[in-house]
Amino acid sequence: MVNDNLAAHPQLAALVQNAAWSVPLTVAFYLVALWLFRRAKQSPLVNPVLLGMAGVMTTLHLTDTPYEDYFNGSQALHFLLGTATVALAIPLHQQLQHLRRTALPLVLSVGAGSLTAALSTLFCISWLGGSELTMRSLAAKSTTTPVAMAIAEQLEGLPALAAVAVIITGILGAIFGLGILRLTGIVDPRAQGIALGIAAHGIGTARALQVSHALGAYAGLGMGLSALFTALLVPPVWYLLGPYLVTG
Amino acid sequence: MMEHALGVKLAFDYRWTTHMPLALLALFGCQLAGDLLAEQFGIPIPGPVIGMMLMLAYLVVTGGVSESMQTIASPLLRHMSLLFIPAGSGILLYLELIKDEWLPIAVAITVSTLVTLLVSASVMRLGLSDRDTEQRGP
Repeated sequence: MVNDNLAAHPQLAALVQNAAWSVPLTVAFYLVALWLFRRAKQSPLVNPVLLGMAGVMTTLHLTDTPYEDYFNGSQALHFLLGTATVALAIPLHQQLQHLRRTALPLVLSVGAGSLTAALSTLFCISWLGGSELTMRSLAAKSTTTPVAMAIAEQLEGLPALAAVAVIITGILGAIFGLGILRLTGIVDPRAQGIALGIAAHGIGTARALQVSHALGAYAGLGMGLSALFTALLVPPVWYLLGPYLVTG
Repeated sequence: MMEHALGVKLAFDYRWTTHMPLALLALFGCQLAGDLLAEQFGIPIPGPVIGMMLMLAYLVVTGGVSESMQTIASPLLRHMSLLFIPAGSGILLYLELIKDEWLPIAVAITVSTLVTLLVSASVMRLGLSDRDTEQRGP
């Protein structure tokens, strides 16, 4: 792929293709994306991850940089994604203090919700003739991005596709979730919050926090517990059901 | 008051305290242990999630989140979005797949989000109403 913009500036192209550029490039686009997100009053439609990815991908395209080179250069950030996933234990630990009061309904709701998310995703893809790779990538797409990416990797799917699907799921849930729940007569903030956290993870939780602290607290609990449940449930579900879904 | 080498006055000399490295070791240690456990024993749970469970156990055993741990973890958690960008941009390599399968992907995302919302909220409401009537009973 020859690019006219940079073909005339080989030195500039060589500079951008240098691996040391990956991290500052990513951080710079994240900064711009975050600024736009704040300018848009934190609307779920202006997602910082998708915007940052768009900036990086456009740069790679314009400079003819292979994605592999960029990714190798950004290993430091990618490594920290694993560390941040481990650190999710901290908010989960804090949320578990709330658990005592409504433990049984919470656990049942999270179990049922996480299982429903995985099964409905797999059945829809299978029914509409999607590929096995897509099923492996999206099986955990309702849970928080780092966990969904780790599960996609575990199931030999595509973590990148998982990340995009997770974010779109979260945006949908954040925009339409509360309206749908109200339409079906679910008005209890505990039920609304937990459902937003399970179905729309961090993006749904951010939306819930904009409404009320109680809604946000239950959404956070739903998100944290469903990450745990999804990680425990989805791999065995896939190993059990996968062969039937792929041939059937 | 201690005089720091750079001339900053500190109420207490933090330079040689061990809280911060201990918290770092716990965090990176859980990450490593999670990866090793997932790899060595073929546990069908992603390594970072095993690490998260180990970390949770560590927090329960040590009686909560220390100030140092909070200091290390909060920027990681608050700006986790930044960390998704390198791997997420890999979608660039699979644009063909999305073009071919946009319909199953779009339907799966929409239907599963809707159904998951309704199932989770309904189960929660059912559980709560059971508990509420129990409490109100004689």
